[in-house]
Amino acid sequence: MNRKLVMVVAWAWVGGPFVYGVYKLVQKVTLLFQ
Amino acid sequence: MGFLDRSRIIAPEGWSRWLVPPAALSVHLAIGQAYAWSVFKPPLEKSLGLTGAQSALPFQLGIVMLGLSAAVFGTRVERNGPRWAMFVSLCCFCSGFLLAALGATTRQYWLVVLGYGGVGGIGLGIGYISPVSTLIKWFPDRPGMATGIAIMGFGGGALIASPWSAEMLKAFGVSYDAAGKVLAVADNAIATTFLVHGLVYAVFMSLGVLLVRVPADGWRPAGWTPAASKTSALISTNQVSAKNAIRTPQFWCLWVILCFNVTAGIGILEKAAPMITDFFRDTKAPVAATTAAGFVALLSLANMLGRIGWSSLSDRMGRKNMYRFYLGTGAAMYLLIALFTNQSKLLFVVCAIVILSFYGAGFATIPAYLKDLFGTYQVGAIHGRLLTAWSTAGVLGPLIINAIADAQKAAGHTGPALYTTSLYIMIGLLAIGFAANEMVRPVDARHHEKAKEVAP
Repeated sequence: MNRKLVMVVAWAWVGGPFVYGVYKLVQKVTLLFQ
Repeated sequence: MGFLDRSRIIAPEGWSRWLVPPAALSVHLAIGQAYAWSVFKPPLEKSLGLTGAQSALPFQLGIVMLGLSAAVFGTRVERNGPRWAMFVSLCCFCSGFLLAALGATTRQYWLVVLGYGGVGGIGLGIGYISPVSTLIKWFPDRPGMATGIAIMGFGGGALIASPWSAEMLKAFGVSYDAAGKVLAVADNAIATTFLVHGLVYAVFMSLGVLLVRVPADGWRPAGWTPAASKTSALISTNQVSAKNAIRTPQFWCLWVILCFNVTAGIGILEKAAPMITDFFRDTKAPVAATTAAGFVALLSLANMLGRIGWSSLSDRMGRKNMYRFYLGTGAAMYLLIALFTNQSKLLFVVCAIVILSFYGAGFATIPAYLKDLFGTYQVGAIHGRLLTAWSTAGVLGPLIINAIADAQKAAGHTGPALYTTSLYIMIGLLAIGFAANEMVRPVDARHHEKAKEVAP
């Protein structure tokens, strides 16, 4: 399989959930400034 | 072992080492779920009629098993290779969820404890050390950054699991009031959530099992030589076995450093919300529950960013200097909180952020420190043995801060007085850690392995 494609898929696999987690966390952090 | 054998995952010529961090992260982001266990506590308490202490048991057993399994199976993990280790971790961690699902549906709580904490905990230990040692071997030029990536993933796992598990519990029939208190738990809501967790994490972690590779013998990053990285007497080009490492004073100095750095951080982390509320209770601007939740989230962010940020910086500054910084500045931050108590909210928040960033950094930098002192030969196994310091700190930190706060409360004290003694104890522990770091010297040559003994 194309190695560049594997690289993109692998990073998206772990990056997607990570971005979701950080987004939810930042939402909570904003409570501090309300 | 066929597919799982180390010989099947030796990277071919031209394999990009940047494929290894996602493999490591797929395991650490999954097992990091352990730190989001608290999401399950209120529904379990409501559904099975448990106390707070009882509902914490699966998590506590999980952390103890993490330390024990990492220490006991560390050498086997090194010998069998990361694919085997990631597969075993996947099987244990996910079947732990399945057993917990069975326990929840049959209302046999002991099965939840044994499944999630016992079986799942073995998955935590094996899954924690293997990706770290693999990354160190792929990034000998930047070991601090490499270990920072993996261990940041462990922190990130809780960030993902916390909102995801809460959403799933709601979807399967757990209802909450506006203050977040559990109102009702539908039949099988918790069991279904555990089941889905087990299945989803199995698929998620399989990326690591399929993708992980070990470098071929003699592989080095382009243009890098071991001699080029030897910028300090503490960075050794020799190798030490796990068996010999625990006989060196260096190992026990690092054990003390990790244990007390974690104890100091976990003390704040565990009581963050009640602590900020108590500190500013009698001031003109008391802290509301929502603000306290935001403060806890901010500390989690600092913990995670500290793992990758400070650990990466250690590649430039040197590991010993970084621990001087973590332990010395950490103690100064605690002193500022103790002296200024509730005079400045901003000062309190900034100090807590710095302390928590050092807490995460302490975890992330220690494998690179081990690599500097003992080489890469059995660094995973040595790291596994060192994690018993974490298990100890996990008990010690909350014990100190909770026992003192309870005693002060019983004596009629309120506000910052509940925590001042704990803060000074933390300063003392960090000072001992600082002294232990100063005692770290290069490992004596009699502990080094002969070249033919480290050949695979």
